[in-house]
Amino acid sequence: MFLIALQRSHASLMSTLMMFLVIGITLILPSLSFLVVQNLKSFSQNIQHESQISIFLKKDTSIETRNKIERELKGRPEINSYHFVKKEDVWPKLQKSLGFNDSNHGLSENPLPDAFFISPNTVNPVEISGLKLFLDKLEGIDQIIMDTEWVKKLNSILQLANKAILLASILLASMLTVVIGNTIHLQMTSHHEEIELSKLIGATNSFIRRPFLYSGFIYGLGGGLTAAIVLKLIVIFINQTIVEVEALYGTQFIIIDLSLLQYLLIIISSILIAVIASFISINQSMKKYDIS
Amino acid sequence: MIKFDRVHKRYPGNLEALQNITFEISSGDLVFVTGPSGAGKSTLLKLIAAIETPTHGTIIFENKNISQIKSSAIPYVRRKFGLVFQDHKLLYDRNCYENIALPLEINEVNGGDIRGRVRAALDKVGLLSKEKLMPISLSGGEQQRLAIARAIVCRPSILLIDEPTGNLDKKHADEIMNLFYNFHELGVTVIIATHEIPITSKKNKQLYLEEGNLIKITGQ
Repeated sequence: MFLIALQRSHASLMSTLMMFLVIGITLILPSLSFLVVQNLKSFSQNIQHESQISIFLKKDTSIETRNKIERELKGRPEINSYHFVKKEDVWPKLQKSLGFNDSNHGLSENPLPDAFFISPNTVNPVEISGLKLFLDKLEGIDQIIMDTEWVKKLNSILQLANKAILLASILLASMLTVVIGNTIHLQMTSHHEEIELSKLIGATNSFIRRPFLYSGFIYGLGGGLTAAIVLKLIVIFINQTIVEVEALYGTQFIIIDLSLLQYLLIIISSILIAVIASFISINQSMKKYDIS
Repeated sequence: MIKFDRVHKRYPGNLEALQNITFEISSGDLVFVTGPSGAGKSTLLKLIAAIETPTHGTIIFENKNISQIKSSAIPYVRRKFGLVFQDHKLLYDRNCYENIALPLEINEVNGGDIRGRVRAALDKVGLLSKEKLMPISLSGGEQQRLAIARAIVCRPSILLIDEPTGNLDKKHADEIMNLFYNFHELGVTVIIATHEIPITSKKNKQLYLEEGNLIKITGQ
């Protein structure tokens, strides 16, 4: 039976290859988008450690209060590291950078506050909000400036992109179901004499379904493999281009490839979509051949 | 073996194909179903082979009421018959060998046995040398013989044949009929629907139909 399906696919080689391409390209679109989002996610995770929360203390904050704040910061799991900057240490630097000197300092007193600079180990919006709430309640803090906002925004965009990819995948899967179903329906129509005869001489419905289901399986497997191979080639091509750019500009970035499991998932999804589409189409078409 | 009891068959549009048909066929019989065109001969064969279901009445085959059989069991009833259709119903995109192999595949015969049985069936109808040819390249008589080979390849106990000689000249028609007589002599029940009984016919039973009614049964 599988041999019959293979023979049929071979007999109409061009249309089978076209089908592989249609399925393959349709699957590449969401897979490639997924790959882009995965890379952006990884990028955002890499830079999250560079993001910072600045805590400016009130000018009249005592050393005890400052030490208390430091103890509290030490105990927070969301904080990767922190450092304290004394206002007296920064003031000369600021003066120098502004062009002031001792005789012409322009300001009667140091306007800077003491500050803690925190590197969080997360950009999770919930955890960061929790941390901010906690910091807000601490005594002696004048102002908190979060520069993790843009990472949060990026993460939100990535989450949105993930949802968009999921939606697009569902739409494309539906489109594939229609295309494959229609192809199987056409195949059944072109073999209607054989189906009718088979029914007349005692073929069961499952006997008639089988070669068409196998055809669907072959389409799914071929399409899935096409998608996986083309995707792999795209990643190789982009990474090679990046290496050339790296050599010129000294950047350090490389596209993270999908895992073997994710490639397998693409192939399995393709097979599943094709087999389900074939099954639906076959059942619809079989109603025509209900002889008795 | 086959028993019709007050069988009616009405097609959509109130077309009465068969009315109140009652008869019995025993194992090993040679039966001719005769009558003019539109008498209901083909419908009768389709009812026997469970291709059609009766509107009323009972059809008993091998002690089972096949008029009320579950649809999932119908294929297994059909497999018990060797069917030769009026229009042959050959598959023109498959060669002679593949045409004959189809019923064996449907009957899930072991792949290793298929070749031997196909060749034996082709040999029986004198087409062994043409197993690789496509049916389109065969003459009308050869196509008929190919259809017979397909009907006998599963070694059915009953052969149902619809108008086997309609498009053949006398010489080829006699050849074909002789094939059926040979199968009958081997103990196969042969039921042939034809508008005229060949003069060369052996001892047989005849069911004469006219406008869907069984007018007479002879040779019982």
